[in-house]
Amino acid sequence: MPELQHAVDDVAAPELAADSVDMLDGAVDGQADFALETDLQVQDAVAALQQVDGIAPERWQSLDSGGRLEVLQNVEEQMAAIQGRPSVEVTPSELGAGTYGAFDGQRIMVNAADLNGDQPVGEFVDTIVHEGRHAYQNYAVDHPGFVTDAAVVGAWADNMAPGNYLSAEQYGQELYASQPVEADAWNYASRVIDGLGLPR
Amino acid sequence: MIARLVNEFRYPPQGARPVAAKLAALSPVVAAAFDQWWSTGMLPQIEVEGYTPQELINNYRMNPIAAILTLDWLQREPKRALASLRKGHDDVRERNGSSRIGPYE
Repeated sequence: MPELQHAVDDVAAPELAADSVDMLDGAVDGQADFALETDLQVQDAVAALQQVDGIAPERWQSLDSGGRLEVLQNVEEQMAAIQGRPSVEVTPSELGAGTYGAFDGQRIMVNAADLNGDQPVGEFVDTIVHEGRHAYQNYAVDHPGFVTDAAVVGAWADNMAPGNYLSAEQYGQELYASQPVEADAWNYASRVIDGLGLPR
Repeated sequence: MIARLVNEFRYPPQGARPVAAKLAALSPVVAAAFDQWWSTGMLPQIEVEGYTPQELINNYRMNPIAAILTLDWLQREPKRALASLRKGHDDVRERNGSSRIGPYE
């Protein structure tokens, strides 16, 4: 973004009061802590989920819907523990065609019809991790200080406020994907699934 | 444009602004298609990276404006846009609720 950088370079750095410097240090520390915490969560998630026998593709294919649901609940339990939030129930639900899963604030729902289908296991794990990340974001907004970077939590809270969420249906895929809660959830889940090497 | 987005297409005022900004910066080929739809209501015959407005409306539940904005992203950043479309999208209904929706087939 060269034009912006040029503009920034033209502005003389203001002198900051000592307490302002402390506040800036705190903000930078919060950002660094959040990035580090996220990296560690992803590493821990990959290590933990690699131990879940049921998400190996050949094992997944051999399971019935009940067995698959148990595996997905196990994935959610592991993710919740790694993220330091209460786990939520994973339950099958009659969702519309094309809807992989949902989170209603208390439960993660997976499409009951898909649970018996041939979709790759990576799609299911991606859905659980993605919806679970939304649970983490909600928990962070409801529990100030849970996530160290107050700016990140503030952006999530603002994004979740009524009328501020940008649906793909109304705003298109780019504005949808780049808003704070979705960019975070997609990035987080993608890193976990890529780390696991699961087909999607 | 913002007034029409709000009054006719039911965007909230704070949501109409980023949409208007994106529409004002459309790449030329997509801008021509948008101008046609904006003035006539007829969906343009345009295809970008294999996607048409009708396909985005039918398979991703997008309205025509969302479809045109998505075609513009496909035109500007095809790799990122294609990867995002393959993943589908969420539908966050309110503060605590969301659902992950894939492309309909």
